[in-house]
Parts: sequence; structure tokens; C-alpha cells
Amino acid sequence: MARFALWSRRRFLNAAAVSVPAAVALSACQGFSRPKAGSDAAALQERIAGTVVVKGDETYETWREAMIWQRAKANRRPDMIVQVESAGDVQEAVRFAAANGMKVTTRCGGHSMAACFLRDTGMLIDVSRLDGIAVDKAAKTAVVGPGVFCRGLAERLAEDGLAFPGAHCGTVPISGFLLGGGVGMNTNAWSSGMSVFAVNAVDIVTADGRLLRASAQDNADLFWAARGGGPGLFGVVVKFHLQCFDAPKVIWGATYVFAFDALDEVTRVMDEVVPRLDKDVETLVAIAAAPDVPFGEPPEKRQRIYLDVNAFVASEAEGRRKLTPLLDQPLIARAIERIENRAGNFDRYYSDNEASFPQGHWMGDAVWVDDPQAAMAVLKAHMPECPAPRATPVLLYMGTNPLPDAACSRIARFYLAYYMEWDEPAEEAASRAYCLKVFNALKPVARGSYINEMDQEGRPQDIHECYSPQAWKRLAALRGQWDPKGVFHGFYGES
Amino acid sequence: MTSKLPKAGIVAALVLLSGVGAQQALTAGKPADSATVVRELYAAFERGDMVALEQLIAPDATWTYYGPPDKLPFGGTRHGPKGVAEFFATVDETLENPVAVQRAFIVSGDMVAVPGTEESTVRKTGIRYKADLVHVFKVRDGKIVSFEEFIDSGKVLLAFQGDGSAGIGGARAASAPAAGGARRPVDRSAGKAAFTTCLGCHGNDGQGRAYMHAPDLTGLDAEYLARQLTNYRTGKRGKLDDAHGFQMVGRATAIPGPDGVKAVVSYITALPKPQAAPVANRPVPAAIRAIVPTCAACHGAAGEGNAALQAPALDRLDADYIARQLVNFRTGKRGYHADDVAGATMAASAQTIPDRKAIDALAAYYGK
Ligand SMILES: Cc1cc2nc3c(=O)[nH]c(=O)nc-3n(C[C@H](O)[C@H](O)[C@H](O)COP(=O)(O)OP(=O)(O)OC[C@H]3O[C@@H](n4cnc5c(N)ncnc54)[C@H](O)[C@@H]3O)c2cc1C
Repeated sequence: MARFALWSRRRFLNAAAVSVPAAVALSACQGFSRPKAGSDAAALQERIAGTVVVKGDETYETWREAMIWQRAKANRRPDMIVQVESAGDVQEAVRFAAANGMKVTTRCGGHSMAACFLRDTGMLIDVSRLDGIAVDKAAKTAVVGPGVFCRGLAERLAEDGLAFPGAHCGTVPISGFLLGGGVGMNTNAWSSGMSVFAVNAVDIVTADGRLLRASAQDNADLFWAARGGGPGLFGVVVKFHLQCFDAPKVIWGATYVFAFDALDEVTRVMDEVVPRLDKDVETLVAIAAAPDVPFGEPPEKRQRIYLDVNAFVASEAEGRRKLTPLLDQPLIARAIERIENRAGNFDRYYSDNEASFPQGHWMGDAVWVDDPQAAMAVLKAHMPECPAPRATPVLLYMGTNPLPDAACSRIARFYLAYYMEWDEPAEEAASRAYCLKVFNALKPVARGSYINEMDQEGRPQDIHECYSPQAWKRLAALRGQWDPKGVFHGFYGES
Repeated sequence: MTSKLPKAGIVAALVLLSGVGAQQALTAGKPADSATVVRELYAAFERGDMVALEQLIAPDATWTYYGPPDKLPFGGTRHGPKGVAEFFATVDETLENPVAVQRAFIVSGDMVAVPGTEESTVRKTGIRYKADLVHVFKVRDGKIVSFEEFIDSGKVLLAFQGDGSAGIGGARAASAPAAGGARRPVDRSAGKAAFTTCLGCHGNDGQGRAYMHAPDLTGLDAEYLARQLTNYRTGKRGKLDDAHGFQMVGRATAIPGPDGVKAVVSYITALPKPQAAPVANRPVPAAIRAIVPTCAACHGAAGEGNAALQAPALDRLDADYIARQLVNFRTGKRGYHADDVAGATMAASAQTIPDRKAIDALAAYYGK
């Protein structure tokens, strides 16, 4: 039984019942036609193997919507969408944009809940077809295309006894995930708290169309920006050079489900006990609705708390030992459901976890917090007014590693995210307003936000708080240096 | 086995000198000398005659193309006639419009060295490269026991990686298209757009990604693909405990409506299809001899599928996927919904498979 099975069952049924009208009449075969001769699109299309689509094309709206992974489709329309086949295509596209005064954004998996890559002007470059995994087993490194999904990477690395701190959901590509920092698996032990610190180098196309290697040795300032610059990065990454780690022999874990009235105690254990566990033990709390309790019932009746712990270890015995300080807590006896002694691996982890990441209509927001008890108190006060049919807070212990010097410069002891999910477009506005209200209320206890999951559309003025003041300044200075003509869009809201 | 291989791909791999043409037949009884065997091999390639070719490859032969196998799909060492056939299938999938030159046949005992050049267009990137090479053959008892291709695989790799500097004349073939039809037509269809949500798991060309446990979609019939997408969209497939199927629910639901399903299916069915598994040439293992006729009744004598009976091709799917689905059918994770009639039929049939061993044997027999 999947770990979070209960909470997504209902969503699954709802999603199945809703049918989305096609954006355009998809009559016969509109493909296989070249852009109008002499048009901008035709000039670029001539030079690349990928596909160029412009506003006004019959299939434009389908392409535009296809860029967003989820089902809520942000209402913004770039002038041109370019789905590339190669790094060479990216270079051509960037040069073309520069020559024609178009501002560029990049998308890979389109997972950004804010669809921050979608702007009303300019060119959107889709790099999702840039794939490939090459592993150097002896050196414990891998060169990976941006379009590779975290789950696939884990599976491929496992063949060579290696692992990488990928996202918790298997269908997230490494691309945007890593560039924004990456709240990945076992990062406390592997990569100073954030996955991006296991990136050794990137191959990146810069504003002038050059393809450069950026690492600690080469173009070090560009590398600094790529490690965390996220949607504010002034370049298109076409390859990641990753540091890998010895694969755990087992992901030894357990999941406990509690009634809502255990929330204070669960949070206290997160705050006071979990930080004492070894670094390779990852502990997460999620609050989600029980599927059999109707929407509208108060949280105490409807919400369940899921405490999930996993040790990335060499043996079952080691796993058991490392979980003991947590499992000895009196709290554990209060669990109303439990899965214990789970001998997992990445495949199982990703299969189990799949259900907990809604693929319907959703948005979310996230902050870093040092005091989870104070933050939970704010959430708890707001939860009764939540208008979204399903809304899930997640609290994850991050560790206390000092971050290496890079654009990725904000973290705290805990990561707190809150995801809203709805079924009917009419439910969207209220969900967004509620989320914004909660996160405004969280500000006094927050230490900034996480760029990849913050509500960039709702709180664009807070985007700078995803970075330390020095890093924010340096990022802007480097942008001026590497992209003096502003070929790339800035952060959402900036351009 | 792969006798239907188009000639172009064959030529691309083992480049031909136009003068190699007329060959004397190999005399029965006395093994031919090494140069004759090699020339006959080239001739067989030129004719696209995989049967003749296969007879020239020793069962224990090694076939090596020097280049990183994880980056160049035809790189690495393959074994025996089957490995050689697979090599050419891979070449044909990835290269087009080959032009070849061979400069000499240098014989030394049982070794033959053939220096030359190869010029091909990489389908994926549109880049046309020209690389110097030497083929080295070793012949024993009239058969080739080893083949090594020493080629400027660095250049080939750059062409695969989209690096225009590897292109002929320093220019990307793609910027000067048309001539020779080296490029695929531009595809801006709604189907390709919708396929964006599929490619991370099923691959850019729909041929599946083992590391995502996602099957090859090419060569499956349109109705089957549409039916499965609709099943996922309407709760008839992709239960929560269907470990590698559940995520399809979200992806199928992300496709814009029934028209979107139609569009993406027509995109998928138009994708290039790699070779099907050579089921007809495989002996039926004893363990499944009694079951295979039942499978064949719907899926065809060689697992080629029968759309009229709503039975998909099995020879297009990889063995792991087939095994997983058989388990799903047997355990209520597929074919569980009353409205999924074809699935329910299969679920009932799957119950008659005796055990896991038989499942694996079936999967290996039908799958790739
Ligand atoms: C189901 C789900 C689960 C998630 N789980 C996690 C998790 O466990 N941990 C976590 O940290 N995050 C998680 N996220 C958030 C995720 O990290 C971000 O959504 C991230 O942006 C996804 O990467 P992407 O390639 O899809 O980015 P996209 O949404 O395609 O792009 C987002 C931005 O990234 C930039 N970008 C992307 N690729 C490139 C590139 N190649 N070159 C230059 N810029 C680029 C662009 O500026 C773009 O605006 C999750 C999201 C979803 C939807």
C-alpha cells in the first residue's frame, strides 16, 4: 500500500471525471508545415532541428499549455516557443533572440507551480528533449541532460552502485530543480543541505550564444550564479556534471499516521528530537485530508498527520539503530496507522511518493523556518478557513550545514511548504488568496523562501528573500556582466 | 531475423567502396581466404542481404565499434550474428544518407584491414559528419570472428551531441536543408506539443526508457494507444498500487481532451519504428508451449498484434514491461474495470498462466 495512498484517492477520482476542452480544434494534420516564408519563425526554423511555434499558429495554444506540467495554465503568452533538439539549437535560438530583441526564458519539465518561465513577451526555449546520462563509475560522476527525470537518474546510477540527491518526486527533471537549489533526498548527509552543491559543473549557453563550461575552475562566477540562480539565471544550461555518492544499500524507513490532535507533539518531536538523528536520516511531516471525511469538516476531523522517516544506510541493522531515538518517543504509540521496518529503495520510494504529488490543478508556497513550532501554530490557526478542497503542508528537517558560497544562499533548519489543490477553475482564486494570506502571516517566523516552490505570482516582491542580500546583489551584478543587453528575462515580475 | 533492414543503414555502418561489387560465390567445403570473406561481407551489406551476412559471422564473433556506448548508441562490443544484426538496426535508426569510400583491402594472414571514410547525417541533430576510419577483420574457417571499427568517433559523437563544428565544412547540415532530404520535416502539430508531457518517460522518439520503466510506444496500433490513454483518464487503468503505471493517470489527464488524445496518438504512430522482436524465429520454450497458442489466438502467431481483436503487438514491447503487465492483469491492477472489456478479457486469460516462471518465459519469448 502506497504510503500516502489515502490522501490522493479522492483527487484521482475527481481528476478522472473532469474533461478539459481542447484548446483548439485539432482537426487534421496541421503539423508538417513550415512557418510562413520570410517570417521570423521561418528564419530560425531554417537553422535548427527543433520546432518553432509562434503566436498565431494554429497549434500555438496547445504548445503553450503543453509547456505547463500541471492542469492550471497560467494566462501568459510568449511570442515564440522553441522546442530544441540539441545544444546547437539552443545556441541558434539565443542568438536569434538577441538579434531580434526578444527576451528569453527557459523551461524544462514545466513543473514550476508559478509557471515562472511563461511570460507575455519573448521566446520560451523548451529544453526537455535534451536527455542522456553518462556515468563515470570510478570517478563517481555523471554527465546528465537537463530533461532527465530524478527517478530515471536514480535508477540508472543504481546500476553502478551510485546515487544522487534527486527531488522527492520522480517526474521532476533535474534541470529547474537543481538550478533553484534543490530540496533533494538525503541532502543533509550528501550535499550540505541542498542538491545543487553536488553539481560540479554546468555547460551553459550564454547571452552571446556561446556554449561554456562553468565550474569552480572555469567561469567561476557563472558557476556561482548557476548554483541557485534558478529563474533568475542568465543562460540556458544544456548539461549538468554531477557528483554522485555511494548508493545506500537500503532506504530503511517507517511511516506513522496520527490524528490531527497530535500536531503539536509531532512538531515538537520534529523540532527537538529529529535534529539529534544522524545526518543520513531524513524526516518529513505532511498533513493531508483523509479521503473518507467530507470537505468542510474541521481539520481535527478531516486532517491526518503523516510522519515519514527514511535512513539512507548500508544495512538494515544500521537503519534500525539510526531510527531508534525517534521510534522510542512516546508519540509513536499514538499512531493510528503505521508502516514499519520498510526496506526500501529509490524505485519504491518514488512509486510510493507518486501519489502525494498532485498532477491536477495546484499552486503552493514555501518558506524556510528555524522554529517549526511557531510556524505550525500559524498554519494551524488558518487551516479551518482553507477553501481548497485539498491542501497539504509539508515540514522537512534540513540540517544545519553552512552553505558553500553560491547564489543558493538561503536555508534554515526546516523547510515548510503548503500546497493547494482544486478541481474546478472557480476554486482557484480563493485558494490563491488563502495561500497568500497564510504566507503573509508566516513572514515573522520565516527566514526567506525557496525559489523553486514559493508563490512567485502571489508574492513577487518577496522573491529577493529567496537569497541572502549579498547573493541577491551579486546575482544582479553578474547578470549585468554576462547579459549586458538583457537577452534573458529576469526573475518573475522583473521583466 | 533482420532481413528487412533498409539498405541505407547497412551501408552507413560498414561503408562500401562502389567497386567491391561482383563477388565470387564462396566455394562449399573449402573455406574461402580471408580477403574473399571480407569482400563477400561487404557485398552482402550492399545487397541488404542479412541472411547471407549472418552466415558469414561466426557464432562467437565479436563486433566492436570504438566509442562510448552510452553516448553513441552503436558503440561498444556486440556478440554473434544477433549482436551484429542489432548493431545495424541501431545504425539505421540513428543515421541516414550514408556515403562511403574504401581505399584499400590490406591482407595479412587471417587479418584484413580496410581504411576508408564514412559520411552520414545524424537523424537526431541533422548534422552531417565525415569521419576517417579503418575496419579490421579477423577470419577463421570462412567466417568473421572479429570486427573492429577504428573511427574518428570523437567527431561522430560531436555530431550526435549537436555540435555543429563536427559538421561538414564547419556548418550544420540543418542550416542548409532540403538537398537530399537530410532533415525531418518540421513538425508543429498539436500531437507533438502534447507529446512533450510523454517524452521524459517514453523517450524523445517514443521508444521507451528503461530507466523510467516506460515502454516503447512505437509500433503499437492507434486504437490500442487511444484506448489505454482513455483508460488512464477515466479510472480504468493506473491504480495507486500499479507502481509504474499510476503516474500515467496524471500525464494522460494532462493531454487536452479527446482531441488531444487523438492528436498525440497520431503523432506516436507516425514515429520511426525500430525492429520488432524476431518472435517467429524463436523456439517456444517448453514451459509455455501449452500457453502460447492461447496468446497467439488474439495477439497473432508472432505476437504482432491484432487491432480488430483489440490485442496489441507484443513484439514491440520490452520483456520487463510484458512481465509487469501480466502480473498486473493477474493481481487486479489491470483489466479490473467492467468497462475495460479488452482488459478484462486479458485479466481472465492471465489467470491461466501457471506461475512466475511462465510469466518470465512468455515475456522473454515475445519481448525485446
Ligand atoms: C510534482 C512536483 C514535485 C516537486 N518536488 C520537489 C522536491 O522534492 N524538491 C524540490 O526542491 N523541488 C520540488 N519541486 C519543485 C521543482 O524543483 C521546481 O518546480 C522546478 O522548477 C522544476 O524543474 P523544471 O525543470 O520542471 O523547471 P521549469 O518549471 O521547467 O522551469 C522553472 C524555471 O527554471 C529555469 N530553468 C529550468 N531549466 C533551465 C535550464 N536548463 N537552463 C536555464 N534555466 C532553466 C527557468 O528559469 C524556469 O523559469 C517539485 C515540483 C513538482 C511539480
